[in-house]
Amino acid sequence: MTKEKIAETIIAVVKDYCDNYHISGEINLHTTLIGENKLFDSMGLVNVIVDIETAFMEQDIDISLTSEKAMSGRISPFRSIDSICNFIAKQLEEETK
Amino acid sequence: MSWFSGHIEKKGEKIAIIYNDEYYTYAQLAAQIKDYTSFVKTNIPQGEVVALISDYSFESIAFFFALAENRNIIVPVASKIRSETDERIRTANCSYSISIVKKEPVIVKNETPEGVHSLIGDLKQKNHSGLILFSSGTSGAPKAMIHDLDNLLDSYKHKKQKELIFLILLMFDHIGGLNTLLTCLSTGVTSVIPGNREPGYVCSLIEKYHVNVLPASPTFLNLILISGSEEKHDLSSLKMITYGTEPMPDSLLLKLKDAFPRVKFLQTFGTSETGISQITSKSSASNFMKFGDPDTEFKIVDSELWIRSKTQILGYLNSGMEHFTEDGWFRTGDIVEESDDGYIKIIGRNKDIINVGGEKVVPSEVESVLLRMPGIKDCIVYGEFNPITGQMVVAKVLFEETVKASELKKLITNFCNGKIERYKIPAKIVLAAGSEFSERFKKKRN
Repeated sequence: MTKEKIAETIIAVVKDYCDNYHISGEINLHTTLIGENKLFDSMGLVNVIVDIETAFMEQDIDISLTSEKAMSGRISPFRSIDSICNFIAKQLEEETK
Repeated sequence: MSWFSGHIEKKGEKIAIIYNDEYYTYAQLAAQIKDYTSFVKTNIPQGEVVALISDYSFESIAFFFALAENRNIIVPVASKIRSETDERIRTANCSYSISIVKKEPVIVKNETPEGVHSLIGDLKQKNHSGLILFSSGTSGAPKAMIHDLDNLLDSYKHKKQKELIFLILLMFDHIGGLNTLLTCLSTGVTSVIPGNREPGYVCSLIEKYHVNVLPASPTFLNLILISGSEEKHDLSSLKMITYGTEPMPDSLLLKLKDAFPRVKFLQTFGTSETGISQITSKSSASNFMKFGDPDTEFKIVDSELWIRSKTQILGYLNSGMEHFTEDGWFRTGDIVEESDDGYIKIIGRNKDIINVGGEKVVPSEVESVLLRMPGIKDCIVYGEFNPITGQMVVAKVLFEETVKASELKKLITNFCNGKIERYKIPAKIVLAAGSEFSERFKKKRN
């Protein structure tokens, strides 16, 4: 799966969530999810992360964003759409090795 | 002879047990214990693990003490379900099984694997009797807990003698039931043993034998009220109802006070791990209580009740000691609320409570909302790790139509919005198959 494809899935989920909760803002690869100019509060982020997992699962792609590993890095993979992309791409890469 | 059997003998002609309309004196009980003790000594070696498969009866009580005299490890089994009985015998590695048939003990020698558990080895070496009880877990195999029975029996020494009539309702293989029995015999009172636990029948026995004290569970007391048995019988002899083993809803306690205005209600507190502790209720209509037991220490850590008692278990035969701290405190898993004047009240169990970023979520509350949603046939709510909030709420749902998890989550979120707070709304939905919901209506939590 290419990084573009991964980004497409994530952006679709984020957009969908924002539509449901009437959250407005530009959504692209560089959108920050939490921290400054944040799109989501903590519960919003919890939900979006699970929704992203589910979206991949429904495409028969097994990834995990809710493991302990997601907490181990110095910078959280959940900061921006781009960083989530990289986190997932790395997981898929490791799997195919 | 142990001090307990000696104490029973000394009570002489006082009535110890009323069972099946027959009266048995303490002297008769002492004689029966002696009789069985010589029988046990010739048939079962000291230190062996012995299953005593019986509910309460005059004979089974006498046999219990005979096995203690012979320094055996006793495994009381009151279950009427064969597979459950067999599992307990296997788990405790019982080398003998005793059942009482027409008032006569029948011994069966079981095939057991070689070797003994180190905790049982320790008891044997100390020449102490033991007791194995099982926890009634909702999932997985029941945990086998081992008590030093000599130590447990010693905790009933020097009890104040009383002139009362008790009714023994709780089971023979349950710490609460055994505690009632040992309390009754050590305080020299009369115990009425019912042939069954049907509320109307139990009330008829209270009337017939002028029972003063009824130790019961909230569920049983609720059954009395639902059946209206208290109106059909003269229960004016009742002075005290003690309750425990499960949380007492405040609403039920008020209803009970109303139905039994002259009865004193007293909460008991115990765990299979630490034994039963003496406590005092703040008032008859209050679930707030205070520990007043010299043998029990307690403290509250992060809202959880921790207990250390002189009668606690030595360990588990089939499980680790993860609920005990290194210095012997048992983490009960009960979440308590403390009042300004030092009384505590149990408000829930922590293993069921989901902590979402510091906000506590009780699964049953979320479940009851979900069950009101059209299309949801059943559900289980539990906590799962989440890197943002520590834990999140997860619902495993049995839905009547085929649906994708992502779609169902949207439906559920929309349904829950405005009904419960956002942190309580399941962040994750897992689709369940019908077979995953246990038949006994006890939900299997993760």
